Amino acid sequence: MWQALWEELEARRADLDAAVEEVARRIPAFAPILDSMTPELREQQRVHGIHMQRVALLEGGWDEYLADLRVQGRTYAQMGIPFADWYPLLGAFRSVLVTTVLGLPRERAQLVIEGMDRFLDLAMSAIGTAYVGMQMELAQRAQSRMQLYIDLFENAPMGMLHLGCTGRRADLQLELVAGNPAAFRLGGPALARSDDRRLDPEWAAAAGLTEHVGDVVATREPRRWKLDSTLPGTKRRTYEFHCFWLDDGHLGVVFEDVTTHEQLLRQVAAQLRELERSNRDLDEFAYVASHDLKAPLQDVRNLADWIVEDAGTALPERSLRHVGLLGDRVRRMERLLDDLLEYSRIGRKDGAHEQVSLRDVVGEVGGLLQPPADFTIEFRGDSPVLSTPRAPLEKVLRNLVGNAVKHHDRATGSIVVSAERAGDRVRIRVVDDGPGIPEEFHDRVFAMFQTLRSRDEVEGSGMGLTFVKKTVELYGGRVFIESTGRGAALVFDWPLAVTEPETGGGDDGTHSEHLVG
Amino acid sequence: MTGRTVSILLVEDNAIDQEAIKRAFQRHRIGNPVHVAADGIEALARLRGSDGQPKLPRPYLVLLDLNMPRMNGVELLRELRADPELHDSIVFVLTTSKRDEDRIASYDLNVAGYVVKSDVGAGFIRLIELLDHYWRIVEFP
Repeated sequence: MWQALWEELEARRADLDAAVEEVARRIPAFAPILDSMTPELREQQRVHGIHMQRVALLEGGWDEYLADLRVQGRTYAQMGIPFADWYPLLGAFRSVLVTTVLGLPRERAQLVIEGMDRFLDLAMSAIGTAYVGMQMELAQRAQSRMQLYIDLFENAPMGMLHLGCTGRRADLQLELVAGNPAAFRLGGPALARSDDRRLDPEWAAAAGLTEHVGDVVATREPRRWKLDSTLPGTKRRTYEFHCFWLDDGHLGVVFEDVTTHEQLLRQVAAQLRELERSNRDLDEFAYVASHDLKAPLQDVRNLADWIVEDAGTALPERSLRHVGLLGDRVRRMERLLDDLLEYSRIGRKDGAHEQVSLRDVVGEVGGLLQPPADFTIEFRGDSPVLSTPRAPLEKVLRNLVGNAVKHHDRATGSIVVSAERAGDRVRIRVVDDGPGIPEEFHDRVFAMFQTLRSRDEVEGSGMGLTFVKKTVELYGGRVFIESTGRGAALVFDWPLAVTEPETGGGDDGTHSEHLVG
Repeated sequence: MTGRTVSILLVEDNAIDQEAIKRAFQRHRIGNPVHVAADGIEALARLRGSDGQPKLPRPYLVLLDLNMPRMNGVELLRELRADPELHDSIVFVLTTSKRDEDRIASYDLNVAGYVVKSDVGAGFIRLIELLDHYWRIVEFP
């Protein structure tokens, strides 16, 4: 029987294929699949189909054939093609065959048709089984996925509500369709009184929902608001509510207790105010120190000058020297006060960012310092361009180069500044050929008012390196000394591009926000 | 300006600075009379001839420090400009303060000039030169 079926099928291949294809094309689910197949792929499928039929009909490999059909069935089930769409296909197959075998001798025709019917039964059974299997699998996957969402809903620490919403904007009726455990914990007994006929209106009003749902429904845009209030039956807390449109007649609400968060924000704001006040006090103190403390110094200087003018000739040598020293000490005091004032201002009066060339800054510093003729101050190597406030960098370099000149012990000296990139920063070296700095002092020199030599030998407030260290560290860098024996290198790093301080983060613009209390 | 000598009223609370100004005038052999008031209240008494003070004759010019006790420089300026008899006084502010607020307040009250002490050189030499030219050329009210 199978043999006969096979022979008749082979004799009518072209007609059968054409008929099946024509029917398939008319079935909405199959048409796009056919369209998306390339001619090579179609040919491949056709050949595969014939091969499988041979395996079954001639070689008795029914298991293999039916397994192949089940695979096809699963694939089409996953694609979403309904099981019922297979009937017309197989029906077309059958009617073409039946029509054409009518010309055969009766016995043969009956044999072929019987073969055909059994063949189609087996095929439909296999495909059917595949479909059922696939659908069960898909349902299970959907359920697992559903379980994930359910777990999320049940365990979320913020309240989540699914609300039904009917009526017109002016008179919206809200129903509680579902709520997670956190919602009832946070929401209090009034929320629990709600059901799927009605969301407790007292709760809705206290929560600010009555006020905002109209907007959400009209615009379909989410709304967000903060509430500093008491939900009925609970303690007074601060809440943040979000309300968003789900679909016609349904809204989602998510809310959480942000009391602690708000407290922290208030604390931070208070600390900021305190810091600003403290900075203002510091500015005022520094101004007073510089201005009012220096006034009597100016007087002392005048008086010392007048003593010399009026009585200089009558004074012994020693007293003249003393009066001179008076003036020196006063000038030293004034410089100390100026340095202290500048130190107190570090980081706060630095100015705007500019494109600064290191070579240019070193050139300016050299010009300002006016070293003795036999000293050279130069920049060597690549000069990176930094995006930074100019003043602090210039002051750091002025201090370092100035120190190198001031502490030099010979008549000629050379100070070389160089730079190399290190990631997003620049490492700058100020190298001199002076007497060097003993290693045991490498840390101490950065402390306030520390000088290596007495102030009578080398005039200086002792604040220069302290200033350098504080400024460099403010810009995220380090400064250190390399010096063994003669010569010294002062090395510090600076950002290539100083970032602007961040301004406070704003709303994302799609929400309205206000405090209801 | 021909004729009468300009008197100077120096309004300054710091005794050293008072002496410094006087010494500066002496060194440059400027013989104009210099009168001193230690604060705004004393200055007003001198200009009005009240509280037992002789009235300062015209023409006069006021050198005014801003930071003084009892009545500071800006307060004195306001009093002067409100007084119908004294409102046209020529006033030069001579102060340690470089603050914008002080400068602006002074010019708002129509000072003839705002001079910072540290800018005028040792012995106030440039101030003396300024005043010496000023009263030779300018007609006083």
